Amino acid sequence: MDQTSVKELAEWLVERAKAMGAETAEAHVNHSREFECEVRRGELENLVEAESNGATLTVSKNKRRASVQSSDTQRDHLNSLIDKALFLCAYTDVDEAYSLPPYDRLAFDPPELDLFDAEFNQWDVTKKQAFAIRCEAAMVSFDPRIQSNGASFSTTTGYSAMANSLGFSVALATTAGGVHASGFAADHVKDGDLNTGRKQAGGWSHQVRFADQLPDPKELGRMAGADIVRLLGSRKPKTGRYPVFFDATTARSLWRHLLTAVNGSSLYRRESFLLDHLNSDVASSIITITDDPFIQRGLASHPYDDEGVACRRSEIVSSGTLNTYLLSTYSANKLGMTTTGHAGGTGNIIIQPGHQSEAEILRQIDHGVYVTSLSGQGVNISTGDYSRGAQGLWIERGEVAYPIMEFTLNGNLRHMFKSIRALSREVQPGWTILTPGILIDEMAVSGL
Amino acid sequence: MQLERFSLTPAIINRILTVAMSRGANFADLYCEYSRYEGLGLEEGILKSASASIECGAGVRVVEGEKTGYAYTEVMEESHFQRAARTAAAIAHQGGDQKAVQVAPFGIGAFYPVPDPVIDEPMPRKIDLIYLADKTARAHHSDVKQVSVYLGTAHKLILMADSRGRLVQDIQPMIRFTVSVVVERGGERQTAMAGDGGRLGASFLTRDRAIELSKKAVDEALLLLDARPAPSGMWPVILAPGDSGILLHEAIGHPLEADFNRKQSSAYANRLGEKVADAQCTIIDDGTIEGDRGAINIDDELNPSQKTTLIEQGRLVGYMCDETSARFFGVESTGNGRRESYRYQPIPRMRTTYMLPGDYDPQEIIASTEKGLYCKTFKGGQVNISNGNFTFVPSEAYWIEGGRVSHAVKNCTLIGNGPDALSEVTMVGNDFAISSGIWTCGKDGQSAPVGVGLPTIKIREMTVGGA
Repeated sequence: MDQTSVKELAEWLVERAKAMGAETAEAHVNHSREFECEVRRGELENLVEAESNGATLTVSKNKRRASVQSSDTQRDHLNSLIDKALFLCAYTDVDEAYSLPPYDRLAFDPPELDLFDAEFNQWDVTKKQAFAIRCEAAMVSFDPRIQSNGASFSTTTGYSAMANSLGFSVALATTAGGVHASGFAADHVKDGDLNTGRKQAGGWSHQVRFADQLPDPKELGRMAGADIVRLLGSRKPKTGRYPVFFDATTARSLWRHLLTAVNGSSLYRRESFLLDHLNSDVASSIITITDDPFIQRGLASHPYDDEGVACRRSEIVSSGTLNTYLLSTYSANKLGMTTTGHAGGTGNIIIQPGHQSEAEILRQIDHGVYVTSLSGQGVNISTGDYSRGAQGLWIERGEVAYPIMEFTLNGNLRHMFKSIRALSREVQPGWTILTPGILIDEMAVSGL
Repeated sequence: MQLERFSLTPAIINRILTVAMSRGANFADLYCEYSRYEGLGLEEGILKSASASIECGAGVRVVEGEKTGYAYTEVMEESHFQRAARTAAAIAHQGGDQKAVQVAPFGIGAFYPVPDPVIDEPMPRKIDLIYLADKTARAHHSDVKQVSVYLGTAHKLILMADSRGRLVQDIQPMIRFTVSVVVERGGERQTAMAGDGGRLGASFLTRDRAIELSKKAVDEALLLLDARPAPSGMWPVILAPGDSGILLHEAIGHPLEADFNRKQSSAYANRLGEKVADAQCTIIDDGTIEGDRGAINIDDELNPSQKTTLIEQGRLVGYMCDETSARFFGVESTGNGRRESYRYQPIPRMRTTYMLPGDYDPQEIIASTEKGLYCKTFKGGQVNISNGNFTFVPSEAYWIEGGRVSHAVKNCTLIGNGPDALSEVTMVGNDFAISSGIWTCGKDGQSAPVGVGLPTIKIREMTVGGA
C-alpha cells in the first residue's frame, strides 16, 4: 500500500460502516516497512525485515460506541469486522460526551512538514550495517575496558491515513531512522563484596527523520563509551537531602510526567496532581514549555492529531504558568472545553534552555547528586508522589567526585517542578522532548 | 490443526523451511499466529468501550550460531512466506546442503484449563460482572470517587514448524480483569488497583471474585489515604507471600536469562555453580502451573515447557535458555524462548518464577523484627542486569515497630542489589503463595505475561527510599 491506497481504504471503511448502519465512523489505516540490523563485535548478528498493515475503526450509534482493529486489510475481512463493531455497539452504554471533532477544527489544509526522506529507502543493508559497525567500533575504542552489547541501525517507512464520517480524510508519509550502541565494562569490586560479577552498562541512541540528520557514528560511539565508563567504580551514597541535577536524558521523563498530568484524560478522571491548575503556577518561573508540532523534519512533528484536528504551536507553560490543558475531543467534551488538537499526544516539546553551562550549574553545588538514569514505577500522577531508583554521579564542591548507584530519589512532582533552580544551556538533540538538564533545589536521597 | 487458517499444508511448510535452510543455517522456524482480543471497559458508571481486534501474521527465522535473520508477513500466501524465508536466510553463509525439511506433529503439554475464553461466556454475563464490580466499589465506601473496570480476553492460535521437523499447534487463552479506584477525602486523593487473571476462560471470574477484587482495590486506596511517609535509609525488609515474588523476578530472574549471560553483560555471567544466595533459597522458573499467567504448553520456538531450577540451596545451577543460547552453551533449551507476537523474534523470558518455602513461621519472622518494612503488594519492579541493582515499588506496605505490624506507609521504592539481597535472606517462611496478580514483563520492547510467587521472607537490610 502507498499514501493513496491507505487513504482510499480509510474512506472505504467509513463509507461501508455508514452503509451498514453506523451513525458516526472514524477509521485509521497504516502501512509500514521496517528494517533493523544489529551488529556485535564487528559482525552482523541480527537482521529483521517486515511489512505490516493495520486498520482501526470506531463506530457509534445513538452515542454508543465500539472499536475494532485488524492487521488484515483485505476488504472481505474488513466487512466482517465492521459487523463486529456494530454488534459490540449494541452492548455499550450511551455516552453523551462522545462525538466526532468539531468540523471547523479539522485540518482541511495541513501544512507540509517534510517528514518523508526518499533517500533513506535507497540505503542498502551494507550501508546501514557499516554505519552500525562504525558506531560500535568508536564505542569500544573509547576505553579498553568496554565490551560491546551491540549496535543497531533501524529504519521505518510509513503511510498512514485517517477518515471520518464528517467527510474528512487525510494521509501522510513519514520516514524515521534510529541508531543505538550499547556496551558494558567490568566494575571494580571491593573485598568481601558479594556481587563479584558486577558490570556497568550504558549506551547512546539517536533518532532522525532524514538520513542527512544522522550523527557522526564516531561521535555517537564516543557518547556511548563515555556513558559506560563514567559509571565505573560506583558507590552507594549516604542518605540525606541534597540538590539534584537531572541530565537531559532523565529530565525528559520528568516532563513526560507533567504532560501526563495536564492531559485531558487524566484530568476528567481526576487522576492528576494538577487538577484545577489552569492559569496557575505549576513550575518555577524559569520554566517555559513550547509544543511545536510544525518543526520541519521534526521527530514529533505532525500536521493534525489522531482525530484529524489541526495542530497548533502553543506555549503550554509560560514562566511557570500553565496556559493550556492537552485535550482531545472527548476529554474536552467531558471538561466543557474545546479540543486543543492533542488526541494522541503532543508535537515536539521544547523546554527553554537556561543561560549557564552545565559545568557552571554544578559549580554551585556543594554536595549533591547528578542523575544519569532512573528506574522503577514509583510515580503517582494522581498525587504527584515521586519515588524512583537512580544511578548517577556524586557532586562535591562543584565537581564530579565519583559515580553512585543503588539509591532512590523521593519527592512530590508538584513541589519538584516549582523548585527547579536552574536549567543548563546545552540541549540534547535527537529526541521528541528537547530539554536542557535541570537542577532541583532539594530531594530526599536514600542510600546507605 | 488449523493449517487452512494460514493457507498452509505440510507440503508448503516443508518448502518454506527448505528455502529458509537453503544457505546452510543451524536451524530455522516458522511461527504463524492468529489472535483475537476483546475488551470491555467501564468508567464513570457506564460501559464506555467495547473493542475487538485481530492480529494475523507469520514470521520466518533463520539462525546460524549467534546470528539471526527474521522476516514476517501479514499476507497468508505461499509467495509471501517464501519471500520472508529468503529474506531471513540472507543471514546464513555456511553454504547450503539443500537438505529438504519434513515436518510431523510434535506432542505438547496441556496447562490451560479452558480452550476458548472469547466464546465461553455470553456478553451479558461479562457485562453484569463489570457493573457488579462498579456498584460494589461505590457501595463499599463513600470516599470512592471514580471506578474503572476492565475485562480483557485473548485467544491466541499459534502454529509453528521448524527445521528439526517439529509441527505444533497451541491455543493460548488469557483473561484479565481489573478494578481501579480513585478515593478522595478532605482534598487528598489516592488510587489503587486490583486484578486477577490467567490462562483461563471468562467462566473463572465469579461474582464473588469480582466483589472481592472491588473491595480490595477500595480498601487499599483508603489505606493509602491514612498512610504516612516511609522512612529513608537501610532497614530490614519482610516480604509477604505471593506478590512479593516480583523481587525474584527482578533481582535474579532477568539476570539469569541466558542471552545476557551469552553476551556476558549479566552480573551472573560465568558464575554457574557458585553460591549466589543464602542456602535457604531455592528458586524455580516454571511454565507448567495450570492456568497461571506464566503457563505455556510449549515455548515459542517449539521446545516443551518445563519446571527449571535456577538456584538450588543458594547455588546457581542454570540459566533460562532459548534455543540460540542453549546451542551456544551446549545444553538443552529450558523452554524459555518466548515472543510477544509474530512481529518479534523469541528471546529468553521468564514464565512463573518463585522460591520454595522454608522452615520459619511467618509470625515468628515479623516478631523477630524490631523496626522495618513489611510489604504486601507491589506496583512493579525493574532491574539493571549488569550491575545487579533492582528497584521494586510496594503499593501496600506497613511499618514494623517492636515486632508488630504497625501503620501503613506510602510513596516508597526499595532498591537493592541482586547478589547482595539474596545473600542477606535471613529467614524463609513455611507459607507460600503464587501471586494472583496480572504481571506483564517488558524486555527489548516485547511484553509477556508472567507469574511470580514467594513465601514470607526476611531480608536483613535493604535501602528503603522514603521521605
